[in-house]
Amino acid sequence: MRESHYWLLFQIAAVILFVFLGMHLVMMHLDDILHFFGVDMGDATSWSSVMQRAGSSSWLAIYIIFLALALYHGFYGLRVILIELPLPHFAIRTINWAIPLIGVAVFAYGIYIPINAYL
Amino acid sequence: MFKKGRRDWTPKKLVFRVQRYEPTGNEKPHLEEFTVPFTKGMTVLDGLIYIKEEIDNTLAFRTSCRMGICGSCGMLINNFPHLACHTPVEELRKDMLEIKALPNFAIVKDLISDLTPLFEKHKSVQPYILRSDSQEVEEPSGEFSQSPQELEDYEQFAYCIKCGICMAGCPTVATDRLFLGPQPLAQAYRYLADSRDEGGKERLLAVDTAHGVWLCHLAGACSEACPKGVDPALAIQLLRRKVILKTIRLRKEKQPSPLVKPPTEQKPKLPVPEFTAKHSSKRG
Repeated sequence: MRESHYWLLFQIAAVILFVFLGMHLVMMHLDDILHFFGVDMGDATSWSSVMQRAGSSSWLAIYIIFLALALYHGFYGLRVILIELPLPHFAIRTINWAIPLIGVAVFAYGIYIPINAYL
Repeated sequence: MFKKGRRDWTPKKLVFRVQRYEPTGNEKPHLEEFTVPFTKGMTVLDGLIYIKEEIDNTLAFRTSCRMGICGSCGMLINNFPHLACHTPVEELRKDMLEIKALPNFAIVKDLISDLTPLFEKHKSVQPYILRSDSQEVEEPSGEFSQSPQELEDYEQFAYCIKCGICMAGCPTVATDRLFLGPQPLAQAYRYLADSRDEGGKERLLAVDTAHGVWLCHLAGACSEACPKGVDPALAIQLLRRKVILKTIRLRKEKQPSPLVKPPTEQKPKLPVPEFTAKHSSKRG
């Protein structure tokens, strides 16, 4: 993959994250807005509500996609900041290898929790 | 350029604080003061030439055309990169000028910057027309046709004189020496936008890297500093669009300009008046 593919994915992830973060904000912190439009989702942070979402396959998919996009967006941004630093060539090569590896490891750990809850 | 009522700025003398640096010595770059008489319409370069001719002939700086064409005399004047020949001291309106070598480059001596990285990066984007019919390029039998509208697509970016001022102003070049920088990226776009060129693939590979077109922070310092109005920041944005459209294959590949006969072998566009033809045939 060329750099333009990574960059394009970074931008697409940003747009989708914007939608997901909007969903998160409205559901978790701005439920008054939902009430204004006549939507009552109950207490999203209550035990029963959390467990209900944990058992839903569509919510599981949303969690996994959300995590993947957030990690990709964050780690790509971190990589761009790091490779711009005046570092020796081997350090930049190490960053280019280490960032995806760390990202994958964090993603694996991150999806373990919702998958475990789903099962 | 000047506001009304401010034309009377005529100091008798100017103080030039000039950066000195001797690479073979142990001294770090330092500033040395010279007093130069003010003359109406003088440029910073005129002042430096006066210093070299009348005060200290060891002062080193690059200059050639004295009219903003060759791009030799780029330097940091009062903390802003300028062409010394293109900067009238009256425009600066300061009795004391501080002149240093261009930043973001190593110093060869005094005010001379080592522009080798600029030329190397410029070379890496293949800044020339690339065609599949290389035989025609080597031994032309005609001309590649180009309309005035096609010329306009890149004309502004063809004014680059490779002075290095945009690279000196760029904050990203300052932090990342591997970053291609505004001049090579603008020139990559200049050739990609040229209807005669077929080197899109090779050139996009050169700019579509981690230290290429995506690293620009869009500070716009390059465009502000450019003495020729090239606007490299705009070129970089247009280049990004080109790269992305190529990546997602949204734009249809254009055919390069066709070969046309040289003007001497073409029919004249305007008919030759009859009387002229008769007159010339009688003479013949």
